[in-house]
Amino acid sequence: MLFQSIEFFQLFVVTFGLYWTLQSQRLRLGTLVLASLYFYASWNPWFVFLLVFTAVFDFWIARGIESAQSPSRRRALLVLSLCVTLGLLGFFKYTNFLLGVAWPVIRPVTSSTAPPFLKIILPLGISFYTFETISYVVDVYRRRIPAERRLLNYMLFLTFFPHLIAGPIVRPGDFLPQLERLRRFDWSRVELGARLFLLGLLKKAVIADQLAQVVDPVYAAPAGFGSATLWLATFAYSIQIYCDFSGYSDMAIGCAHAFGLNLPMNFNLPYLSQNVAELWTRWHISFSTWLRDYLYIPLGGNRGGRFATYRNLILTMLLGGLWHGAGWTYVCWGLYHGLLLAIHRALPWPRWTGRLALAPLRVAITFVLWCLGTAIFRARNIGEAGVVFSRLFVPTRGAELAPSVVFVLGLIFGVVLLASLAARFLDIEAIARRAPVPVAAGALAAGFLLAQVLSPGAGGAFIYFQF
Amino acid sequence: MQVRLRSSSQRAARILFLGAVLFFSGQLAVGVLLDRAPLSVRFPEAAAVLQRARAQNPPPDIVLFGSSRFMAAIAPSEIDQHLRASHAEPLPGVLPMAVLGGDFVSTEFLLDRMLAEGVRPRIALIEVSPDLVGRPPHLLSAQLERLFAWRDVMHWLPELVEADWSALLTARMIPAYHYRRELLGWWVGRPPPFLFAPAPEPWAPAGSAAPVVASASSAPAGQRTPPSNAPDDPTHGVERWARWLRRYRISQRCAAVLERVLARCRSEEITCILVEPPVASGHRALYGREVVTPYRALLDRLGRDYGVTFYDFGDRLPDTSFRDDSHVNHTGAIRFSALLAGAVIEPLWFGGEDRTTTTDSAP
Repeated sequence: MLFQSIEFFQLFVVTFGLYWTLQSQRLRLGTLVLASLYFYASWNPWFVFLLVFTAVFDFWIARGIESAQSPSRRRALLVLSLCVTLGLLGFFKYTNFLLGVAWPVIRPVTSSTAPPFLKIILPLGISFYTFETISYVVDVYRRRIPAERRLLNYMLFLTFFPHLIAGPIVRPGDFLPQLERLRRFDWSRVELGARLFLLGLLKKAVIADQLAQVVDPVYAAPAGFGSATLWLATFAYSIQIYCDFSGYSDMAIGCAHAFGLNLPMNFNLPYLSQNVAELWTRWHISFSTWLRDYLYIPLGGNRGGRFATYRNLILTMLLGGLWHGAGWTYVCWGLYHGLLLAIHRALPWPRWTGRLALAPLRVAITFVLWCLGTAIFRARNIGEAGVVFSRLFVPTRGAELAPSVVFVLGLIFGVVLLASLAARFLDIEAIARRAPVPVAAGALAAGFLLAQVLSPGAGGAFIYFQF
Repeated sequence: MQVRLRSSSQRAARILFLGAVLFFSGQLAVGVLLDRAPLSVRFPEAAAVLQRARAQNPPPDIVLFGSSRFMAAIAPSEIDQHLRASHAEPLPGVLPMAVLGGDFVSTEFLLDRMLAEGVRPRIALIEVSPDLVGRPPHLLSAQLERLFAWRDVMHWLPELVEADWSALLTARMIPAYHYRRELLGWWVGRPPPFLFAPAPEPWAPAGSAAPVVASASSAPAGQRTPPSNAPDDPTHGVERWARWLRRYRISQRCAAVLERVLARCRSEEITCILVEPPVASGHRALYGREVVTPYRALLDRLGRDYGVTFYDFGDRLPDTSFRDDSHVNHTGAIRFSALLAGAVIEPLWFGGEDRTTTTDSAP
C-alpha cells in the first residue's frame, strides 16, 4: 500500500476520522496501532507477527533493564536484546550474502555446485524498525529515557504507519512523550500536513518516477550506453533517489501532522551542501544522526586521535552502507563515503577555498562526488559498477538518449535546482502564510491535480522500501 | 495569542475546504472535457478502426464486430485466400472492426459511427457468446473508460457497480488521475512516456538486456491475455471466467443493446450474422446447462424477431489452437478464418451450400 495509492487514501481517511472522533487517548492510540498493523499486513500479513514480537520483546527487555539492580544484569539484558533484534535483521537480510561470501570456504566440503541460498523474503521496513528498537533499549540502558509503561504507546512508536516502512528513524525520546496527552484537533496542522504531503507527492510522482524511466533501463545494461548517457543517468539517479526518499519523508511527516504528531526532519536541501561532511548532516538526517549516536560515538568518535577518528568514520560509513543492503555495492558505497569523510577531515584546506565566490563550485564538486557514490549504489553488482565507472571516465560510444529526452531531463534538473534555491533563500512558509486564502487553496488543489496528471502510474514503489 | 491561533486555524480550515472544492471541481471539469474530447483521446482503437473503414476503397462489404477473441481469430488474408481459391474476382472486401474489450455497447457505437460516416457494408458479423450477455457484463468497464459520459454512467449504474465499482469511482471521481495518459497524450500530441532510454547497443553483455520502456498494458479490463511471448496455455483465464460465470443470468440491458444493433442493421438493410467464436475446452466446460439454456433462449428469440442466423464455432478448434482459454493463436486464426470463410462468408456472398466445413449452425 503506497502513500500515493487509492487504498492508502481510504485507510488514511477512515483512520483520521476515527482518531479525531474518539475522545479517549487510549482508543486513539489503539486506532493508530490497528491501522498501522493493517497497513503493514497489506504487504505480508505473516510479518506482522515478527513486528509485534520485536515490539513486545524489547518492551519487556527495557522494563527489565530499568528494574534491574546489578549492572551485569542490565548489560546482559541489553546484549540479549541486541542479539535478538540484530539476529533477526541478520537472518532476514544477510544470510544469503554471508552464504555467498563463505561459499569458497564451504565449497570443498559440500557436494553442492552452487551456494545453498535460502528462500528468504525480507520483511518490509525491518532495517528501520530494528534501528528504532535498538535506540530505545540503548537509551533506557543509558538512563536517558525511562522505560515506557504502556505497551500500546511503545507499539505505536515502533509501528506508526507513516514512518514504519522507510523512516524517518524516530527516536523514542522525541516520539513517546507526544503520546502522553490527548491532542486537540488543529486545522493548521492538518493544512501543514496536506502541504507537506503534496510536496512529497510532487517529488515522488512528478520527478522521481519520471526519472526512473531513464535510469532503470540504462543501469540495467550499462555496457550498451555511451559515456554521455551514463553521466546523465547518474545525475538523474541522484535526483531520483533524493526526490523519492525525501518525498516519502515529506509525506510521512505530513501524515503524522494530521494526527497531531511530529516526526523528525529527514532532509535539508542536501544537494546545496558545500562539502561531503555537510551533506551527511543534511541527507537522511535521522539515519546519519543515529549512526553518529549509536555507532560512531560508541566506537570512540573523534576522541582517540586523528587516525582513530578516520578509522571510526570509515567503519561507521561501511556499516551504514551494509545497513542499506546485503551486497558488495553497498559495502563499497559505504567505504567510498567513509574515505571521502576521512579525506575531507584530513586535508588542510587553504583559506581561499572557503571564499563565498567559490561556493557554487564547492556545491558542484560535492554533488559530482555524491553522484559517483550513487553510481556504485545503483549498480546491480560490482562488475557493473566497474563498467559504469569505466564508461564515465573513458569516453565511450554507445546508445544515446534522444534530444527530446535530454531536453526533458534538463528541464527536470532545472526545476529541482530552482526549487532548492528558492527553498534555501526564500521563506516559503512566510509566503504561504501571507497568501490570500483563495490563492493558497487554489495552489493546493492545482498541486494535487498536477501530481495526479503527471504521475506515471503503475508501480512506483519507493526505492528505500528495499532496505 | 489565543485569538491568533484560532484565526490561523480558521484560515487553515478555509484553505482546506476551498482546496477540496476546487480539487473536485477540477476533476469534474476534466471529466466533462474528456467526455467531449475527440474519439482518439479516450478510444484511439475505435478511431483507428473507423479510419480504416473510411479509407478502404472500395468500401468494405463485410464487417466483423467483436472483442479481442474475434480480433485474434480473424485473419483477413486467410479469408481472402480461401475465397480466391474457388471464386473469381470481384471478391468481397472484409474489414475486421473488432476492438479490445469489445461488446455490444462498443459494437453499437462503432456501427452508428460507421453508418453516420457513410460506410454501409452489406453484411455484419457480430461476435456473441454467453460471456458477452451475462451479468455483470465484465467488459462494460472498458466501455466506461472509453465511451461513457455521465448520462451513460447513470443508465448503466447497477451493472457498473456490480462489474467493477472501483473503476467506476476512479474514472468518474478522479478522472485527472484515471485518464492521465490520455490527457498528456492529448496535450502533447503523442502518448507518454516522454522519458525513455533507447535499446542498448548490441555489445551489452548477454542477459543484461533491459526492458527498454515500461509500457502499461493497453488491454482493457476483462481482456487481459498472456504476454505474446508467453507459451500457449489453453487453461489460462479459465479460473477467472469460472468466477464470473457463477450464478449466470442474462443482462437484460446488454440484450437490449444487441437488439438495437440488430434492429439498426435491419433498417439499414445490412444482413446480420451472429457468430460464436471458438474457445478452449476448459472454457467451454464452464458453459453448463444454467448458462446455455438462457443464452440459447435469447438467441432463439433474436432469430425469430430479427431473422438473424447464429453460427456456433465454440467447439470447432482443438486446444492446441489456443493462446489462452478464449483467444486463438496464429494456427487457430488461420483455421478459424478458413472455417468462417467456408461456412459463413462464402455461402452468404456467393450463395450455395457450405462446401468446406461441417459447422453446425443454429438458426
